[in-house]
Amino acid sequence: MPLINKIPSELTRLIPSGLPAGEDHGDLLFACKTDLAPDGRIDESMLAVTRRHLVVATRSGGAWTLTHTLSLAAINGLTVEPLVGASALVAEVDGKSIRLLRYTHAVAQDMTDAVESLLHLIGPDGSTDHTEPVAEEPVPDWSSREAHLRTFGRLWTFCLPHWRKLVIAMVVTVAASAIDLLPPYLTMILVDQVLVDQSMYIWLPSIVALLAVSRIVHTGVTIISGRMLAVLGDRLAYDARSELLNVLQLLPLKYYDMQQTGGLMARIARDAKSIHYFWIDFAPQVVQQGLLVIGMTAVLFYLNWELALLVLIPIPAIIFASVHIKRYLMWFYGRSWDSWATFFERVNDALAGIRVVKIFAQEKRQSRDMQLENEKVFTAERNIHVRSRTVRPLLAFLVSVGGLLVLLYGGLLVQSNAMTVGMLVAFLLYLAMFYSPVQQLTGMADWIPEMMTAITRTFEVIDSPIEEYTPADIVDVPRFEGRLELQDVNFGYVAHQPVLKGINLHVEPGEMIGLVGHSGAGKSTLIKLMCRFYDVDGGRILIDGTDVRRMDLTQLRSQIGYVEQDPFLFAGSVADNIRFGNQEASREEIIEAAINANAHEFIVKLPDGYDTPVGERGGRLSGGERQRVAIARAILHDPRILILDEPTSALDLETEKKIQEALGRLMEGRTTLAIAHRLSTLRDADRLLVLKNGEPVELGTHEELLDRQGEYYRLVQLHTNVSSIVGVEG
Amino acid sequence: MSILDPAAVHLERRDDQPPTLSIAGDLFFNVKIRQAFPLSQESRYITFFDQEDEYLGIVADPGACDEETGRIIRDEIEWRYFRPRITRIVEMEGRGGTSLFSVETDRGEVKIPMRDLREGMVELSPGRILITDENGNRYEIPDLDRLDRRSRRLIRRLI
Repeated sequence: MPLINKIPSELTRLIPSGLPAGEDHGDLLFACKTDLAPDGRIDESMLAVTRRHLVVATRSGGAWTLTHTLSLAAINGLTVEPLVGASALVAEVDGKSIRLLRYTHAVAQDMTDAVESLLHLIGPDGSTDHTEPVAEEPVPDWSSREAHLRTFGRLWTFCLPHWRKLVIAMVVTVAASAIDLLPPYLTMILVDQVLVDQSMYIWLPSIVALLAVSRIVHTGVTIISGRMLAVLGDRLAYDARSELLNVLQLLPLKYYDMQQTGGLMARIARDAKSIHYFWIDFAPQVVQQGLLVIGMTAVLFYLNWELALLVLIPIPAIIFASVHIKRYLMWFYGRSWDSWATFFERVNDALAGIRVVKIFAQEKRQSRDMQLENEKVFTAERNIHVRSRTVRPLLAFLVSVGGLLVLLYGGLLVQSNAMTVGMLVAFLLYLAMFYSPVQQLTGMADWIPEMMTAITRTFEVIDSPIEEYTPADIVDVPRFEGRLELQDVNFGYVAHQPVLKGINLHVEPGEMIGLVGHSGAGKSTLIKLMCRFYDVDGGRILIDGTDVRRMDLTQLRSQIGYVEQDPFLFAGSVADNIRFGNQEASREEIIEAAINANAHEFIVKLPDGYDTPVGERGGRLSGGERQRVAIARAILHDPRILILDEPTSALDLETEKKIQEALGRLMEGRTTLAIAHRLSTLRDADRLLVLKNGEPVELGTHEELLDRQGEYYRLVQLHTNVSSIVGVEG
Repeated sequence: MSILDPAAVHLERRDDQPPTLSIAGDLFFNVKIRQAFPLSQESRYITFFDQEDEYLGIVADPGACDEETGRIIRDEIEWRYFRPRITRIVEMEGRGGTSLFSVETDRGEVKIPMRDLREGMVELSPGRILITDENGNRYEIPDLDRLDRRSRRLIRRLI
């Protein structure tokens, strides 16, 4: 296990003094530096862990002192206590809580990793485990400064499969640059030997013809290289988008918890396109203009080295200014990207929730809010354009200084017969051509930050860790029997803030378990763990005796059916949605599933029957219809384990009855976990698991739990008058 | 809710009235006939509803019904689903956000006003295009490759 932070040398000497004899600094496993002193000052503290001890040191007035030395064997537990704006690491030793150190959110991730490793060492029951924790593969940080160099490297990997085409296109580009050098040289001969001293006067038509041919060849070559690069660039943008789209499907759900759809849409739509700009507009320009600059520098020196030196005078100033402008503009491009992402998010939200907006008569406020985002986009874009339009003419002025110097000095040389008029004309022609690529190259200074920001963001997504679909120690379970076991399951969305604590449950194949509890009790979280949208922090979830983490994710999920509270339908036809989990299903099977889901009748009454488009998110169907299509989808998927989140919304009695019938058919013979809201489901469940604040409090049948008059009884009372339920049952 | 045996289903029509359906001897008058997959599988999966629009059943393969029943099913489908088939595109004009297609169809010449081309033109399968105009009327190009060259070129610009 590598050290997490470099340990100050002073501390290296100090740590052994706190350790018992026989243990020294060489036993150090890892250490983590934090940013607060115990008294809350901004200063460094250090958590260092050896094979048998935990040492905490803090710095005060530049000197380090040891504040805690604990034997790992004596630690019964470790918790991270969330504070406001900071967190604290607390150890349990002999029934006492020892506050080891505090730290801000800036180092929270490092500390989370360190605590994970520590917990691994201590073991679940406080027993010391000396096996070294496996270091996770580091995720590349695309936001750092070195990231831009890496981004360049990654751009090449995208280009590799097409390297032949790129090389050909570049060679053609170079040819175009070389041809560009010819006309001024021909002009020099034309002026000096054909027009002024007329020693080669019969060559006039030939030289003009040569000039014309060089123009024609240059035009042809430019068209060829332009077309080749355009196709190549489009292909690369397509490749980048494809990779993004593939990764987006494979990213774990927790990635989406932290991202908004609008931001991701911006990445797919705008950022992936930047790879196209890089290879179409940027790279060829750099190569062509760069070669022109080199070629012309050589020619200028060949013609007259003194004049050539004058030309080069402004170049250092131009390079210096370009580098600084790039760094300066980079910030503005970052802001612009952020404002576009927020803008997309806002508009996406407002349009998706347009019904809610209208029903609450909030159109004006929504419009105002969106306008605010629009203004932010305007400001961000204006900041960029105003600045880049200011700096470009200033750079152009810098490069024109050389031209004036050449005109002055070259003019003097011609007047003193040290230079011919033709050579000065050729020099001025080369000069005009020389400053044009230099200007273009400097103009690219403000492309680079924009492109690099966008390309870097694209790679950020592509390199995010995807879900582990096939674990190393995989166990093949092609068809579940349906036996479920939850063993001491603990889980929290944020490390060390548990949402589920100590869940134990054994479910036999075909059994139906109702999950009951207040909102926020952990019911939905438990369901997400069953689908392995998240992994447990502690304990295990077993299906037919196998830990779900050792199963192929596709195999696991293909045997789990999930009917959501408000089912999501895709914008295809009704039939497309029913066959979503089983693309091979025949029309007969689709119809049969719809019949079993009590959906067939309403579907065939639709003008386009099963071919009816359901609209975005199924918006053209009613809530009850969406539910039944989702049930048909689950029936056709034919899962061994069914997970059901019952809708809380009240439906009319007829629809309710139809959905209940459909669910009854769906649950037949399948192990079912249901978040139950309806009395009928609660009564039908084989057993009910009652959760409170993430902990299991009761388990039993509806009748048993009512008789017990505990948490379940209180919950039922809250919803309805309990005596009438008992009356109904009686 | 049943899948009906084609052999047990018989339709008959008297005096241009909506047809009468007999299912294994039970009679239902003024039945309505609908396709379950009117766009993706027109010739199969025919559903029957009684005069109160209550669902009666579905026949997967109407080809297996007797000849008269098959004919009445075809007539009823023809009567219920009005979807002219486009045979030629005469002209396409764009006017400030709306488009007007002048077309020839198997049911005569017609002008199709379109507001949203993205929503209004759907390629159901390669070469088969469903066009819904701004009034909700629908037209079909069953096979783009069978249109003349100019018509194909005009349509290809849009899809």
